[in-house]
Amino acid sequence: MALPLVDKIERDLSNGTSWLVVLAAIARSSEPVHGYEIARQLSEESPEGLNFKQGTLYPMLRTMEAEGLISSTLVPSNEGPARKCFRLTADGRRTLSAWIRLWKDTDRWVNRVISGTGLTGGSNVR
Amino acid sequence: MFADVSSHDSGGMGKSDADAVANYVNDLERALLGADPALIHDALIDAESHLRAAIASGTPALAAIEAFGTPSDIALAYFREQLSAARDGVKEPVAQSSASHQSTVGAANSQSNGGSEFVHSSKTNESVRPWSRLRKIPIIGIYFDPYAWGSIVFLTFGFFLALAAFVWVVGLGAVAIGLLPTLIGIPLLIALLGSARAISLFFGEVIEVLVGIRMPKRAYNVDVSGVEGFWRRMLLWIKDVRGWLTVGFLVGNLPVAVCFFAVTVSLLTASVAMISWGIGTMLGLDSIVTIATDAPITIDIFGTTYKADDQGSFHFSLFSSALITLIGVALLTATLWLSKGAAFVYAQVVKAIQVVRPQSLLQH
Repeated sequence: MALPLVDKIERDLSNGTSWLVVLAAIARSSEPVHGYEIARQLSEESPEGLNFKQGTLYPMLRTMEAEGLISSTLVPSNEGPARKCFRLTADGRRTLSAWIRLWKDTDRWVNRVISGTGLTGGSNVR
Repeated sequence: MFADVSSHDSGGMGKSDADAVANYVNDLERALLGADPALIHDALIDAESHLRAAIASGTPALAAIEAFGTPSDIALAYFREQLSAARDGVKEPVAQSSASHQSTVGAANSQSNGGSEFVHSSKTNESVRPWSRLRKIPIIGIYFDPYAWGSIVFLTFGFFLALAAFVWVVGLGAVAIGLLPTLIGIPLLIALLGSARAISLFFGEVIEVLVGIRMPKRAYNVDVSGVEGFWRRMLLWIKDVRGWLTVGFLVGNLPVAVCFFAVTVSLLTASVAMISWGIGTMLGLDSIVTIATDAPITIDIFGTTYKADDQGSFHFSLFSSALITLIGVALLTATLWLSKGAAFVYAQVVKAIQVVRPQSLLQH
């Protein structure tokens, strides 16, 4: 049975977590990383059933740059035009750190509450 | 103008892959219908370059497109970026040209506001920036518009940017053309075309910050992937009309910037001088208008003639001083409106030069 609300929940969850995931993907790279590489990594690591749309990454990166969370440099590429590569700014690192703490607290809280429901969340409700 | 580019294999892709990318980019363009041209430009170039990179790395075209997201989903993400920029003060026109666009913008708004309800961007701006209400006061509201003041800054200091760009382009261009017979000139010509794009993008960034008009964030690149040989690649760059148009803009921009500078500085100086002159006199300060000359100078203000005293100073009545102040304020108000309008028109011209259709669409 299809539950239309699940789509909305997935969308809201995705909106809330995608920035965190993208910032983390940039943070864990020792070198500045370009958009396509971030998209590729996130797609590879996304769990089955969760559909990360690579195209949503680019406007997100632009907004993050405008917010001062990441900075970019143009890096020459052998495969074509120079690529815009991103790294975290000091502000971005602080924001990510705070966000990770918040995420862990939320994760603990949500898990504590839902563990009492007796539901495993194993079946596909969509 | 891209006839030669299409003669190679569409950036190393097969015909069917190139068709698939072109069809996707076309669908995305349709999903973004009515959005700001600069946003559409960025979105299409993002999509095209991502899909090309994915296909070049061995991903089948259809799988790359599926992983990228449906055009409507991606359009939604860009509209969300547009709304975010609107909250930050960059004036992104939320176009209302099509029903599908309205619904997409509505959805983007709804999502970015916790899924509650449609909130128009101007309302959101008001809650973030308290002075946005003051901006709506007829005529004098312009004093509370930061982009009006930003336009004045742009029209004055933009002259120095335009001068630097002109010197760079003309200087490098002259050296490149002079060295063409030795072949060293050709890479220099490519450097000229590449730097012109970068400078033009930088102009766009300055305009966006000071004038508040959304400008393209990505430069269109000549696609030379799949083209063998250094000189053939160089030739593709040199044959790109868009690059020469950008060079032409940077050369032709100087006289325009000179005019903007002269008019803005003159109006600003005249209005500030009149305001300070009138206020100074009303406050009883010693005459600020002192003309060091032996010639008998008189000033007529609405039928009243003022003569300079022995020191060359003029002494005005309270009425005349107030009148001069009012004229100065009116002139300053007009200068703000004029600057904002001129900067807006100028920004649209720069945007029109920068915004291009992706190569995949031009080839089909």
